[in-house]
Amino acid sequence: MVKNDVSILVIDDEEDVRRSLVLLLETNGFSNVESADGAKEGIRKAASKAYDLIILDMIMPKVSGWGVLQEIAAKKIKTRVLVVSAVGLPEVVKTEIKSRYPSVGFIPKTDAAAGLIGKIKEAMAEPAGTIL
Amino acid sequence: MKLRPKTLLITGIIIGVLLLGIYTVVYGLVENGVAELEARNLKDLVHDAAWRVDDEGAHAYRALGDWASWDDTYNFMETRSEAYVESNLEDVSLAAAEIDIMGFYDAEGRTVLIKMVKGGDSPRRPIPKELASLKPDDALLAHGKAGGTIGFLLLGGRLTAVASRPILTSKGAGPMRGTIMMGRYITDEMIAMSSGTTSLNTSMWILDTPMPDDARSAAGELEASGNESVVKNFDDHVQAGYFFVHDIYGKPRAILRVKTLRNGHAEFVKGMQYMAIAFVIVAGLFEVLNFVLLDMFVLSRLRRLGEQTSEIGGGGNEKERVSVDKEADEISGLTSDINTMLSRLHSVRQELLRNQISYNRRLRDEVRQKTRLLAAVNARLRRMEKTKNQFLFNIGHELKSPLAVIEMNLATIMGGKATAKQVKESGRMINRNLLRLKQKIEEIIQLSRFEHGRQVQKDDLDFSELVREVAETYLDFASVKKAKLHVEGADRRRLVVGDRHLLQYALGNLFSNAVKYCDRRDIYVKVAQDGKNVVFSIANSGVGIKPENRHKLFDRFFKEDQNSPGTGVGLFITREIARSHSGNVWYEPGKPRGAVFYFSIPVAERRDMYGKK
Repeated sequence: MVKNDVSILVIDDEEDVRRSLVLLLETNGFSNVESADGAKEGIRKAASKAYDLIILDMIMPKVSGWGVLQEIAAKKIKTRVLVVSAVGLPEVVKTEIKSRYPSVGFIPKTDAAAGLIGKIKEAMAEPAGTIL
Repeated sequence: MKLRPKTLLITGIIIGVLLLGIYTVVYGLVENGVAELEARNLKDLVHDAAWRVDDEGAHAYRALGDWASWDDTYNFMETRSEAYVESNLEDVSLAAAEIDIMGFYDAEGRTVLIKMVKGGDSPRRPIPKELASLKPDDALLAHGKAGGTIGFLLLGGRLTAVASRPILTSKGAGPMRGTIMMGRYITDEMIAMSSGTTSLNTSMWILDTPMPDDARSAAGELEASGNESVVKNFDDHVQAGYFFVHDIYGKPRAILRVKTLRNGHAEFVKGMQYMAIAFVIVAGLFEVLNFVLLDMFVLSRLRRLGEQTSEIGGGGNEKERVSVDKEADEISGLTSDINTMLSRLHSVRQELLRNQISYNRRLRDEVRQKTRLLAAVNARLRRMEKTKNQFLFNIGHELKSPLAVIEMNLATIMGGKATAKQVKESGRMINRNLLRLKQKIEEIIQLSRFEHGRQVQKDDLDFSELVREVAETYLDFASVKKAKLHVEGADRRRLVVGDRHLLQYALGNLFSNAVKYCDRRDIYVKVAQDGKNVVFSIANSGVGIKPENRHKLFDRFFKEDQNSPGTGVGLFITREIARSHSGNVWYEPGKPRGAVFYFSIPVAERRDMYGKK
């Protein structure tokens, strides 16, 4: 197992999804993984510490993933964001994200098991920065 | 054709025909009368003429009287003396007595002497063969009681008036010594004279000699008809009467014609001409009068009426009326009727207008109402479309989310780098999310089933057992949420009739919601009997339901937070299941906080061993 000390924040309101992502990352060598239950906690954590990567869910109660992206952009937080979402129509959401936040990555949640690690490496190849 | 020329033409034709008819009838009647009168008059004249001609014979008879009862003549028949002849039968004296022939016959009818009188310079005529020898029974010799014969004879082609008498003594005593006869030629002058009056023109022709056509045809008619006389129109102005002159033997010997001017007819024609002129004048006057009166009493008023009505009809004031004149006749009646009709039309029009206005108003209101209704329906349809799309979007998430969890944990396990503890955690997550997936799939199936009306299974079930089974599956969920599940009253058997599958889903949904929103506080489940119902309740101490949302909690696709996960059909299906089991589901706020959901279902009635109630 290759040790990888990239700092990652997983923001998801569903306990099981959150835990699944953390377990998947940890068993793939990512040792510096934190998680936040929902948007509010996620925004608070993202603002308090500079994460190399934020893995973000879109469908969350009260404040959605869009709200988190707005906050990150507004607070000019320097990081990389990868949206992992189980939306009904992933292509629509992907296009929407690309048009509003070109630097933000996207992977459907159902593709995460096989493609998440690749997507993370892809994201990490880019330098961290504000997402607009 | 206009009324005036039409009326004038019709009345003209009628009066023309009427007057012509009267004229024709009068003409016919009067002409007949005149003709009859003329004919009668002419007949009288003809008889007159006949009588005059006959008179010639009578004249001879009278003259013969002296000769016949003269003793010298009586003796002469005995003696046949020349002296008698010389002294008494001189030409000059006989001619003066207008005698042309004298004849003497003895008692046996033998001719004694026939003297042809010589008058003037004309030569003495021969003795006509008709007189030369007579039969003893000749009409000239048969004297009978009358004492002689008077009549005509055709002697040598000339009509002659003859008379004969018996020769007796002066005392009228016999024996009769023979017969004396006397003859006188009828001349044209005599005939002309015989008519007596100047206006008459009388002519005579011996039959079987040349004569004018009219006389010949009249002779034919007289012979055929046996009538005494015949009257004919000679020409337009002259009428002629014809009669036969018979000889003493009764044989027609000559035809006599009497002509007279048709004065009566001429007067009649003139009179009729005056009458025709009078009729034409009367007809003309009638037409003029008709024209004037028609115009005065009818046409001018009709014209005025027409002008007024067309003025009103042609866009004038519809409240205007035609003027009614003082005459109390049909036209004033018509005028009043037109006014009544105008008033009626006006009121009908007003009523129509009112009706139209109210109809338009109603129509407008109707259209507005329908438009609003349509807009509402449209909006509702659009909302439904939107919620349906939202539901499809959500169901995608709801299905994909547990699927992704299962996939990721399988990847973790299969990656081979997980610790035993991590493998165990992953396994539990796979298990929970398989359950979630199952519940969601069930939800979709039930939704479509309830939308199409579904028959429920009717099995005998222990409701407490069902609660225990469902609670068991949610223990793990609750522990994730750091909550404990407390179940009370589910240890006692509570029989109900229903569909195990549906009831499991309904209870599962209530457990799922309670766990989802438990806010890390314990959950209390209770099963109890309330009257004839088994009542299940599940209470948590989470955020509860906002008061404004409580009434739509069980609506299809309702979600308190549109962004939150979930499809919004769970409680809707739960209520449908409760109702299909003659039960109910309802909400009450928790005390002091949280939510309590109740689910009731009737207790199964006790039955005997044969399954009867």
